[in-house]
Amino acid sequence: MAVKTTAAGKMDKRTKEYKELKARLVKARAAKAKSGAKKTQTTLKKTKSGKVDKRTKEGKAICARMAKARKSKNSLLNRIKRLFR
Amino acid sequence: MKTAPNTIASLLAACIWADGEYEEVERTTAEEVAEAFGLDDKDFHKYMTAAMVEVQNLSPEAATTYAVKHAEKVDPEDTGEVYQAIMQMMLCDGVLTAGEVHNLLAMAEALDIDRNSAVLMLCDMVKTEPELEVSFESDDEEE
Repeated sequence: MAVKTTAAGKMDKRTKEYKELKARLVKARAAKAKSGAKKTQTTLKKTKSGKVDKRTKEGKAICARMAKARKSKNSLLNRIKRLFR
Repeated sequence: MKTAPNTIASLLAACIWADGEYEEVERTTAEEVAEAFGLDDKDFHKYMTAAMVEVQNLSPEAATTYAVKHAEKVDPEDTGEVYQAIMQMMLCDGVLTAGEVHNLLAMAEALDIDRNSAVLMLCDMVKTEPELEVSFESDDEEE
């Protein structure tokens, strides 16, 4: 569809094509609102300060992943090498 | 490393004892310690399991005595490296609390590491582990 543009290069809002486009956008927004797209909610338990409670199952899983990441980076060995060897 | 692997395992078990359980995160950290010290992974796991059995029913005072007894067996040349391993284990839950600082300094003292060096090593670890969280909340007040 050839959309007519103004001299400034923007879409000409007075054209039939623009009005059709606008109508489709409104329809799409309405459909999205109707489908009730829910906000993603975290199930992670938080401490009073708002941080993830690491004593929960989910918190422990996060810690386990972090420990694996530290291990894969040789975090302890690198520190020992830098400080003592 | 001149220090016996079972001595290292006993010290790490004493650190885990404070948390109560030998979970996946502690197992992964124990593997990392074994790797860093060039120890056999399976043997070290056996030493860790045996040490966990020894510490699991100890009272807080008895656990301290246990840690001090094993800290004395660490070769003087290895104390810094062993302290690094202890920090890694104690902080593997990703949070540094006041209670853990207290325990770490007690461990440093047992290893005959001066307080200033122990604090500097802790600062160095916090600096190099960006995901480590420093908590000013009391250990039993977080819920």
